[in-house]
Amino acid sequence: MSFVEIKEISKNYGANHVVRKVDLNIEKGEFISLLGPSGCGKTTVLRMIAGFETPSTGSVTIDNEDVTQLNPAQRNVGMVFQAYALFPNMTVADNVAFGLKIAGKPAAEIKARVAEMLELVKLPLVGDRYPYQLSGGQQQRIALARALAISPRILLLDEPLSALDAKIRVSLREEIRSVQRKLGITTVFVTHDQEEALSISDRVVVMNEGRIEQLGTPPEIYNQPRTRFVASFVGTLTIMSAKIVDPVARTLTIGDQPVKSRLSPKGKSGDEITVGLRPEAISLGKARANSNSLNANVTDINFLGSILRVKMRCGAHDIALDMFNQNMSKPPEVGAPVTINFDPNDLVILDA
Amino acid sequence: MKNSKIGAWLAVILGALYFLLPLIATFEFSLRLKRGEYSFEAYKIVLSDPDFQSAFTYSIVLAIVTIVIGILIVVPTAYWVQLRLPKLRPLVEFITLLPLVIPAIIIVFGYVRMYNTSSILPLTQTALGTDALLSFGYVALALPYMYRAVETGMRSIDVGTLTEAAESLGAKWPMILWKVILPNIKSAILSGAFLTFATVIGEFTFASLLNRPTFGPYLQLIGAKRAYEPAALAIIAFIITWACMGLLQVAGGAMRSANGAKK
Repeated sequence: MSFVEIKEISKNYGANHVVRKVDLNIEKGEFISLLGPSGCGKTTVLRMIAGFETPSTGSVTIDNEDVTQLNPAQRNVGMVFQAYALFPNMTVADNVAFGLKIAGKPAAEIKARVAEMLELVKLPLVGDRYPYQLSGGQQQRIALARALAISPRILLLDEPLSALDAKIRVSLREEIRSVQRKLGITTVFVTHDQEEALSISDRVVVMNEGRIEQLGTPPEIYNQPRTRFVASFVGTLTIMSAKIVDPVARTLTIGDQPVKSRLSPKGKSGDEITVGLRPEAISLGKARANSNSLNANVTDINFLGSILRVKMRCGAHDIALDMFNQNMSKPPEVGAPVTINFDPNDLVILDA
Repeated sequence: MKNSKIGAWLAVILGALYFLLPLIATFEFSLRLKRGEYSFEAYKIVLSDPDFQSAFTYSIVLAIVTIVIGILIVVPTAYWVQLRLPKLRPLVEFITLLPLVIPAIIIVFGYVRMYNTSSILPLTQTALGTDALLSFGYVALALPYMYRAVETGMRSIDVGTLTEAAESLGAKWPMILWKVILPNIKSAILSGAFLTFATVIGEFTFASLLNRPTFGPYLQLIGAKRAYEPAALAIIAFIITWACMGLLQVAGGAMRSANGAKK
């Protein structure tokens, strides 16, 4: 049995179905991200785990205890909010101590625990300050310390990095991950930023319109997106239609050019399917053995700093290709005919 | 100096004269109890009058009771409306504004009819009952000021998220209100309290019709009998009101600087 079990939870506000029958099992010590665009239901799922929302149907079990009907104060979960939510009237130390005081812990134990938590988030000297005297990043670290001080069963993070600037976002997300590893605490992280989700999670749950679109490890989500939505939401993907030639031999045609895929396409000969290609999976050059090649024409070149994105037209499709910006290699001319190569492994077959 | 500036200064001076002249005249008059010299004799007489002392003490106690009841009713209501029933906000705001629209004399006549000695709840039968009725009336009278002040204070903090943060740390409702919400809207409550205080101290209609010995009826009584003392009392009442306003400014300033520091 998993540490956290979410069984078929749904949330409706009148006729508006925000979450539709979501099933999710989270193992102890796992770091899971709920990823999706705004309005996809990810925050509502998190709030149902925390107890701020009651599911319309379904149940939430934490450590073999059904918590579906418990209020947040009874669940022993730690929560970090996008807006920090530190208590402005209390010092940093009082903020961190709040949950411990509520639990009636002895003063000496509280003091030691507060010091330990501030040490953990690398802010041991700010105990006497008030939240408004700290930067956004520092406030969020204190919020993390406060959530962890009560030794919660799970840690819930609701877009904790969204209000911070880019550099701090990256350093704080690494810190959150390292604290999570150190404590081995089961963590659910909500974000709309795919890079964030992919870089710190054990598994990523991609959500759309209240449903789970795909659940998998970051490489699985990125390299083998199952649906058109996941493919387009996570990273850049050129989506094309292809026709099955022989499902057993795994041969297809894109336009009228033959290609091979690693996986057998679902369907029979002559069926139309959807396939995708990542820009970084494609290279330019002469046709190579064991590799797929397509003829195309260059339509545009975008300069992205370390990378050049070459846009091409191949039959009815626009294909993008990324190449490193090296002084030595000359990018193709706009309008020039080129041959593009990609491995059969990199051709992604999408379900829908 | 530009013409527009001269115009502005003229408006300010005219306005100041309009408000200050009667006050200065009243003050000057209050000093003329002794013939041929200025003295604070009228103030001495007023301040040493046992009736003044009792009326003033009575009004202060009443004001404090009113403030406490007001806070107990308004803070949880404003909190609940903000957190759970935001759709009801316009309705609650309308209700809290009613005392400004309905004249005090109508409210107090209603009270007298509702709670007279032959009613189910004969509050006016005893002095204590009438005192209670009076302070309830004052709570209603001061509702627009108290509610507005508290509501503004609550809007300036993120009540929803703070409540959720406290809940996830194991706190229950009374604890959240007491430890998290109240301290953060302290200055808003203070300004509401000062406005309530000023309202209660100067109130006449309720106290007179319910026949309670507050400061308002005392002022009226002295005004009917004496010449210089009412002027002195008026100045004293002004000073008290101004002190309240001053405290309000200080409290408001503290709130603004705290909010400014947050950003």
